[in-house]
Amino acid sequence: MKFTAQRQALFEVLQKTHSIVASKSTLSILANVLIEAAEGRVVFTTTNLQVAIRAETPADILEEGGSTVPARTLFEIVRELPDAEINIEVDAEDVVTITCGESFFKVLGISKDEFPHVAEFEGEPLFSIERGVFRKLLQRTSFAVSREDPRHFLTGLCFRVEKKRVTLVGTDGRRLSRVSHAVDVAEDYSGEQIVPIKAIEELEKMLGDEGDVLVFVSGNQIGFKVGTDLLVSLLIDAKYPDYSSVIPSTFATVAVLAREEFQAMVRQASLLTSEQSSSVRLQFEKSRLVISASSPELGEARVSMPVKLEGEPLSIGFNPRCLREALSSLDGEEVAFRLTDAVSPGIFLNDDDFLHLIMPMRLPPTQEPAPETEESAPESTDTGEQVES
Amino acid sequence: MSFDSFVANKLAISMLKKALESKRIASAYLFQGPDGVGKSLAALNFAKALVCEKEGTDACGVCSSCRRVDSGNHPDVHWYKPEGRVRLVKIKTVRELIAQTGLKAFEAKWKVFVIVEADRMKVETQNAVLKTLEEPPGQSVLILISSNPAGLVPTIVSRCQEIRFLPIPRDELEEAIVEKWGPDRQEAHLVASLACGSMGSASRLLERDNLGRRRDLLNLLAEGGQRSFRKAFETVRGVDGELKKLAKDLQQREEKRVRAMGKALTAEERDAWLSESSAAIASIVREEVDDILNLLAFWYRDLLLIKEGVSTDLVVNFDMLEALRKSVAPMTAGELFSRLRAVEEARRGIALNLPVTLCLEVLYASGV
Repeated sequence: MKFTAQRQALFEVLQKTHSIVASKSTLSILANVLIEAAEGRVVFTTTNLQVAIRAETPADILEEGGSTVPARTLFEIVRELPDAEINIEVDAEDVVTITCGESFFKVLGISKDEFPHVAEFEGEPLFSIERGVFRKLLQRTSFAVSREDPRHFLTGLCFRVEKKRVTLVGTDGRRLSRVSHAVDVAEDYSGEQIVPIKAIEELEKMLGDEGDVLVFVSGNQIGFKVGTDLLVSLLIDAKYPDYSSVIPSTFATVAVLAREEFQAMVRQASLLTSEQSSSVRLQFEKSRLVISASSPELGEARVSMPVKLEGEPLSIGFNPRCLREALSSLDGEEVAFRLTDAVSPGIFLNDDDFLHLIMPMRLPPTQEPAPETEESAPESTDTGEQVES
Repeated sequence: MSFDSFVANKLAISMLKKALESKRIASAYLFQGPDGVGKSLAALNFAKALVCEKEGTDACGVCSSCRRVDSGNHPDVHWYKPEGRVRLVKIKTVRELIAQTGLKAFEAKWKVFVIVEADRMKVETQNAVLKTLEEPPGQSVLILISSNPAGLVPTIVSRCQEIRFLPIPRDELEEAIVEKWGPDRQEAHLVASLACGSMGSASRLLERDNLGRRRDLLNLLAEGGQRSFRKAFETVRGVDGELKKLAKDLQQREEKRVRAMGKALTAEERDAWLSESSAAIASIVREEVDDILNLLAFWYRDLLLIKEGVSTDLVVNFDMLEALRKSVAPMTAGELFSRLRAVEEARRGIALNLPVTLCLEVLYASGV
């Protein structure tokens, strides 16, 4: 393999593929970047066995071929080089020679046969979606996904394509976000994939603003193509639970609140929550909402704000972080918080396509200083079960 | 390397082959048996056969998958090993394993997870892996390797299909030794006796010149009397010192190598590398000292056999029969037995990661 490329172009491509290279891995090959030169372009691929990133740049190919090179070494070499043409040449023993002006480097590579087979994803995608729209869909769901859980499906975002719509669902067992959007796929196509949250985080970094994202699915891998960049992720090996039964369809109370004020009030009250008493109490009255928190080791907080209430007054406890995150994922000046009773989930609907559900936390009995024992912990596991069932 | 080239443990191998043939692969296996009898090799080969592109009852050995399993670079074959100064399979490692089992296979039909020296997991770590062991997601196969299954909690053992590996019979081992290293018959016979059915132990005897050390040690012991023991003991201590010096050299070489890597490693990685390599070197030193103590133990064992008038066929140090006969006279069976026990005590201490020097001092002080 032998090619010449501009330093800047090379650097940008390496930067894209660099973020997922593991510093320490059981497979020595994963520290390397796969380089393949053919048909006027050089393709770079890295993987950490969960996610693979592939990026390419046009180059002057003098001899087609491929090899793998220690990713970090190559990255640092290219970073230090001046803005000029860089020549890269690999011999049959995978010794890589990098020259640029007066600089000369020789790096030991590993045969490209050792590199894991990452799906190519050329040709027709399953569907394509506008980047800005896609980013919004991800933003509204990915925050609800669990970062670590032995129940593997909770650590991934579920993509379901059905009836010409894609639905994304993320949950950690205590809250759930669901969005959907129309896509152009075959009428009778339906499928479901769970994509690890770590891949989604990488994908969010990769998304630019304009153009479409092409989504590919093949067997065990899913691919997202943004321009010429491709992110491939292994799928989670599980079935996504049927969550529809936990979403209530009727509500006893609908509270309409100014979104930003609500968020600010929750933040204030949450200052006096602690690890043991982590919930805030929301007391909905006819025209006021009182948010309070108390923890024996810190003290108490009470704030209030106006509310337009339809239905029954109600007291309910929530984790303030979950509430705040939910509120920032919503749009609009006002939000409608739909509730049933103190032990049923609360729901925000932004419009028809975005639903966010939060499980309540059990509140300590009123007026008493909170007895700590029956706080949130058992409740959160209970609700976790509910969401799964 | 294929299943057919295994010298011994045909039963274990045939069980694995049968599983492949009937396509009834258990989700968890426990390969147990003494060190150096082919457990890891069998695990490697089983993993290879599972991910082989030919999907037969044995690995083809030539396809891209097979070759990458051999070089340790197959994305669906994961190895997890003890690390650090106390040689533990860490909880962090096991969490990585659990996370990886949750994902689909990268390219093969199966994903294989091998935990080497699985008994070197703390009880909490073992409990963490239990659920995955019971119901690994999808097409996962877990293989636990252990030469000390008593160190595993019963709930782990009961969730695995056990594949027992036995010590390699002496004559088979002898054949294998001749074939691999080509020593003369008598030496092969001696090594086969000393190696107690372990190919690994045989390779250490032949490749690390432990035979030479044995000769020196036994000659000293054969002189008889308290003084000769002291001398023999000094030899053991000398070996320990020698090894420590060697370890230091090795460590320095590692440091040089790490420095040579320069910018390719961050400071943190450099430290991690160095502490890991020093731990690995220390564990080799332990193994070596343990081998020497084993030779000492054999000496007392043989003496005890002769004292009790058991058939000399069972004597391991058969080349030293005369010397053994001479040395046995002034000692009682009780004395011999307590010496044997003291040596075993020292070996146990070493296995438990006590400082080697301390174990040797205690052995010496026990008035052997």
